[in-house]
Amino acid sequence: MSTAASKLGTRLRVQKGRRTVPGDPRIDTLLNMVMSLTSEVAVLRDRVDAHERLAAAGVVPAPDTVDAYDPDDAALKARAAQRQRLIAKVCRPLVAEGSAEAAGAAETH
Amino acid sequence: MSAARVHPIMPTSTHDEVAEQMFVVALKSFIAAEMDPALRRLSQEVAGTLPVAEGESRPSLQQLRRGVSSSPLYRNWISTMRAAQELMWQAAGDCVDRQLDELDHIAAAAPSVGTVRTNPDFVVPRYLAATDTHMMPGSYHTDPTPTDVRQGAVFDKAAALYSLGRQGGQMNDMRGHTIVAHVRERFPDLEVRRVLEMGCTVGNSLVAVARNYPAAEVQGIDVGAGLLRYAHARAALLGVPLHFSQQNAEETDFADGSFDLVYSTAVLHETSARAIKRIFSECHRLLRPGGVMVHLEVPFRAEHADNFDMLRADYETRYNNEPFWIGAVSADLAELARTAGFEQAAAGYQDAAAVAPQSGQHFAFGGPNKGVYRSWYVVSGRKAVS
Repeated sequence: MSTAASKLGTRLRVQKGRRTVPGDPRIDTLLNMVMSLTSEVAVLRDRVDAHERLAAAGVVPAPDTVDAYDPDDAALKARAAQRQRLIAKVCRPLVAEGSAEAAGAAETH
Repeated sequence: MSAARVHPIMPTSTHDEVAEQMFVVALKSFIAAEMDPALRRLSQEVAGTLPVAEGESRPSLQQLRRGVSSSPLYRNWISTMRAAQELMWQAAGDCVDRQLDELDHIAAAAPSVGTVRTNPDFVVPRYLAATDTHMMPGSYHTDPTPTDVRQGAVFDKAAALYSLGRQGGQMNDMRGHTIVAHVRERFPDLEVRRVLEMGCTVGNSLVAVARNYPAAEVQGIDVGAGLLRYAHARAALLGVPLHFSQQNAEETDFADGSFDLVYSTAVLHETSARAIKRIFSECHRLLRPGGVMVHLEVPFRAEHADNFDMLRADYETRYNNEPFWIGAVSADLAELARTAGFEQAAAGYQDAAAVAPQSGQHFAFGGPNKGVYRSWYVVSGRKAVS
């Protein structure tokens, strides 16, 4: 942590004037937490990917070799597809709910 | 997106930070590809059940908002949009904080090219101080110390992420190129020796404009000291002499007639109804006779919007802390320019220039809206010669 960064405090962590979303605010909070957690899963997937590709290339995966790993185009493409699959999976209920509503099926639930 | 820097003070990203940033980009893309169309369908359906006032093409925003407000899709869309925005700022903030000492050192050691003038007594306009604009914690103006470059570094890092790299990549300079393209299109005879950008943030556009007018003296003003310290170092390291000062665009300390060209990019929607008028008047004061004012705005107009577009504008206004978004996209900007005393005042869609316009290249003004990052909405006018 740098000198200025250590002086941040909460002012630079929380936005001034953040408005509440309609409905139960806990749902908004929970959705935020799910997205943050999904972000962590995405980071872990890429890290696992680095481990596997380094091992396949005969390099011992260690914190420094993983941090220094620079994915080639094939790896970037595979990671992008994996990331999209992850987001589509986690967010599927949000879109499915919308499709049902837009089709006028919401009232039948 | 990896370690390669487009300029020496751009924050670098570790393996995991890249992964975090790419997640934000992918989430924003998912919302645009999957959630927006679902909400567009719902908003059309709900609007079909609502009364439309005589002379209007769609129900009022208030009615539409009330109509969809109990919908889980609408609520989840707001939450997901804002979560993506907040993750973006968090990712950029964490990345910068890890290396802030190094960035401060790079700024301090930057070549003495151009100048920066901050003002410890500067009063941030109320419309910017009241909320953190577009959910950036601390907004443009809250610095952790009186000497660091944090807010500028965070803004630069996040801005390239926000536009998904489509505003000129990591240089994020498409808006500057588009200003040049517009001036050439509408005012090809304008001789540009002195330029001012209002609300220049980290100088993304200003560097592009200055490179197009290499002999000009180029000034940029903004409300954040850390933002400007970063902007100055960034430009100096790119070898472009720019002069930055911490000032309010409504009331600057430059003398009358100081500039040939005064412009802003995507600034008006972050001001207020009163401030826009004052900014246009200040532009008029600052220009020499025959000088030109240009303001570039988001390519979105209330009069051309459908129901979903209005919900999107409402999101920006209420949930992404852009309180004047709807006000700016509804205002008659050409009329405001005329009222401020400008001649040849006109507003319309301007074809975007992704890279520096070449001589003889044509970028149409006043044509159709070609969409985000392909068009911008621009108002411009000229100060009378006599």
